[in-house]
Amino acid sequence: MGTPRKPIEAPTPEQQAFLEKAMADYGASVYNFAYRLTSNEADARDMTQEAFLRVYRAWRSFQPGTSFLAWIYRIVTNIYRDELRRRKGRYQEEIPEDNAPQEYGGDRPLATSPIEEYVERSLSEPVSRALAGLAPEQRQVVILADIDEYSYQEVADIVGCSIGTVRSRLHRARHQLRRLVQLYRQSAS
Amino acid sequence: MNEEHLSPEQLLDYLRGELAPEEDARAYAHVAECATCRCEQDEQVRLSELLHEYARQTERPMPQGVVASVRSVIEAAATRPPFLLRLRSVLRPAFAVPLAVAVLLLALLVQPWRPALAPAPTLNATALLSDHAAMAHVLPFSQGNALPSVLEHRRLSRVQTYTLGPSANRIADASR
Repeated sequence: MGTPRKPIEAPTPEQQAFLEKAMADYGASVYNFAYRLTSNEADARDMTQEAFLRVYRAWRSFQPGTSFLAWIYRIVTNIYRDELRRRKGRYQEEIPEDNAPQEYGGDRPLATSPIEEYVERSLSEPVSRALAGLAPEQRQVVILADIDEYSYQEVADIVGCSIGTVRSRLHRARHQLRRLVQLYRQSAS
Repeated sequence: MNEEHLSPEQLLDYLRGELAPEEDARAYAHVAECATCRCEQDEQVRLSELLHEYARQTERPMPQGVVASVRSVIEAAATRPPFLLRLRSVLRPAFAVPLAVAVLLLALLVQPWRPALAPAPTLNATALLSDHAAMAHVLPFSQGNALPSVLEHRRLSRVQTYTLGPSANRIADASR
């Protein structure tokens, strides 16, 4: 992950409290967003850490009364874009191969039974692979608009593009997703 | 809006509630009557449900390691020694002696105590050009042409020689 641009300074009590609250309230959302973008746990962890360090440095620029989640999603999006540029558009994806067990983080609660786990995996795996098969900017829009249910305007603000671009990206992405999910389901069965 | 069917983009906008109220009402009326659009709508809804299901199933908490590493980066910054202490560590003999030698060598190379060189002589190019123009004329000494600067200077000094000062004028008046 990119190195911090500004040096980290010793925290003030308000800054420390702001950061701790942000990590407690939004840590999971940020981590899940990063994981869905990168399809990779290590990258998701690094992106989340960098996002909170940026929040810590820029905490005074947050406007009270606006959505904190949209603000931090914008930070994550910028980190993701910078990292894509640095890696020339490619993240190493941890998409499980056919029949390979899907491993989640150690903090994840275990499924209640092997049958539930199987059903869960068989449902989510084609979608996970299909999402990973999308172009990064399409994946970003699908996650924000469909999973996090942001409006076109909010997605445009987070991603930093026009509403028209969001609309066309989302439409193309969903068209592609339908095709890929069908393909992976057929190959799984 | 297409009277026949809604375009996939329009249908998506309709499902997301992104249409203007009139367009939304028209889309609602059309989908209620059109089996093709209803079928497409069902497909879109199914995909959205699939994505939500995927999100629900893959939801996980942030690893504690992230919180710990964020805190450790900040704590490291907080416990960083102040500037003077860091400067003192730089000025240890291991660093200070080579630094002094380097400064000395640089001073010997540049020699800032030596007087600055006298400025290079300059030529008055305008005077030279006007002299050249005067000398290169077909009739260099004819009336109306500029004299070369050397001659002009002599002419002026000669005129000065013959100029009567105020005391000479008074003598001339008395003799008259």
